[in-house]
Amino acid sequence: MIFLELFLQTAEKHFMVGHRVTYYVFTDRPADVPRVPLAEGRQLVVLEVRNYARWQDVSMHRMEMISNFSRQRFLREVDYLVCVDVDMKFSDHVGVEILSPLFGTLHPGFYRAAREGFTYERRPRSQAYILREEGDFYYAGGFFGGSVVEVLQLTTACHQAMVVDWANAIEAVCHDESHLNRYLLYHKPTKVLSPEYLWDERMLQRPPFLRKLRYVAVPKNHTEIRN
Amino acid sequence: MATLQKTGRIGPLRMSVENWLPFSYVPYYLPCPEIFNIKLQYKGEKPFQPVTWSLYPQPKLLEQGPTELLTLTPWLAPIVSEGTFDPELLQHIYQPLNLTIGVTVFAVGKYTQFIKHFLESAEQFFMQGYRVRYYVFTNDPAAVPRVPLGPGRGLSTIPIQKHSCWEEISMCRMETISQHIAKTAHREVDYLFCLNVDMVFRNPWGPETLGDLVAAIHPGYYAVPRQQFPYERRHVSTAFVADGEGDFYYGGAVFGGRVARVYEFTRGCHMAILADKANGIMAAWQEESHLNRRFLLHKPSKVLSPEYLWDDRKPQPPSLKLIRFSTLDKATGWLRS
Repeated sequence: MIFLELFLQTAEKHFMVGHRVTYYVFTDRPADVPRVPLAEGRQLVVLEVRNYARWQDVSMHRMEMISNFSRQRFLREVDYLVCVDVDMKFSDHVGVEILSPLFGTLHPGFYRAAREGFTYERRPRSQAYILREEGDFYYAGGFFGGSVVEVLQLTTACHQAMVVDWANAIEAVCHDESHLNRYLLYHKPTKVLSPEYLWDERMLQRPPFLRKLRYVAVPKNHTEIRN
Repeated sequence: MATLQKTGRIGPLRMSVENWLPFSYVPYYLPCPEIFNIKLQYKGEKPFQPVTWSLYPQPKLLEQGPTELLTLTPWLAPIVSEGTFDPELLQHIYQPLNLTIGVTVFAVGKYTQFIKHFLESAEQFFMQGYRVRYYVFTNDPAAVPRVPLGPGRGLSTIPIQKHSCWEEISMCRMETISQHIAKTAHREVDYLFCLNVDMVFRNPWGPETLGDLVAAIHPGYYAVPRQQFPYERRHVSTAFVADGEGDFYYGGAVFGGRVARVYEFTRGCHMAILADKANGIMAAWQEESHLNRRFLLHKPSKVLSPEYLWDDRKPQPPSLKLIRFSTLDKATGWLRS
């Protein structure tokens, strides 16, 4: 929740400025949602959901939640859906150039790596399994989206894959991100965002080709937050 | 959206064509086909299908491709040329979609002599492995040769009127195509390409060309600054393009896309042509001028490099690796074979 205020403030400055935006905030503590002034045509909707003991479960249940709410509401309320992590802030323009029926973002840690080095799920028992000879890019779980129809399909498929995995007592190595990568390998995105759209300044040295950092990680104490 | 009265009404009319050009008419009776108000039921949107498993080299973010040409327009439309795509991978993606690709060609008067070569080369190179429907518009159906077509590929001959001069023929193509889509094509095909008949395919033309709205760069102007594009420069024409404007000069011999988008596109061009007619003006390059004006304002979602529309009289530059569709060298080519 501590990240939400900064996320919203920076989104107001940089994200889809001039367009109609609805922020859907999934939280187990609706009362704690900060009041951030929003520009004309922009609104915030709080969706109350349950919390999970493990942070991995929180992350993985995102697919389920997005898929459910897409069916119930998003299809009727918005044209495009952008699914992003909250522990981030916008630092430069993110606009309509990202819109497309289905888009993924290149994970900043793997844009140079050979596909054998991608942290795909490598155990054949998992629904997220990808062979060493396969793979286009390693997509980040923290920034994907598209038309509501496509996002619904993606999140439903990922959730179903996770349910099968849970039944087989296996959890993909990078959780929902592994399932996202499996999906985008077989349902190729119509647009791919460069690592400008998801960066972590503390963990990575900024390469010369990265002319802008648009959406960056906010420094945090992992252990503190994940418990 | 243009609003035309259903019955021709004599009297001054205020009309705006596609929202971008309001002007008033001197009394003029315009033909108003019913199709202007029909709501079409298209063949059906296909949801994304999963790609079947296939092996291919990993795309690398930091590697520049082998192509010397620009690969993306400023509005993020891909510019297709050899080296920018993997034909096998695309085949894996598109084949399962069971698409039908339509092609319109106009062969009026002496132009019927080109049909044979066009079709034979299309049978060899155009959309191999897909369902294809050729629509041949001609004033002389008897002159359409019997060319053997592969499985899943068919031809329809549509009779049209012959006009006195070729400019007229060229100008009424937009109307004819849009009417044909409304009547027939919208039910039969998913994508539609509108091609000139006096051309041949020389190399594969495949699903890399499919897109919502597709234009091709004219071979004569791809290296030329926009001020020298042969746009219509008279303000009174609806095809007018100002000096500082223009992305590419697109060729009138190749355009296409999803059948719904082609319908809108040809209808829009036709309305603009009608408006010019009412004002007694014909654009410098007829249809091609209107096509260029329209593509400026309704940007194509995909652009084909001059590989897909070449002029055989020009020497092939090193930057173009593969000529796929080009003018039949009228002086010698067809005579020889």
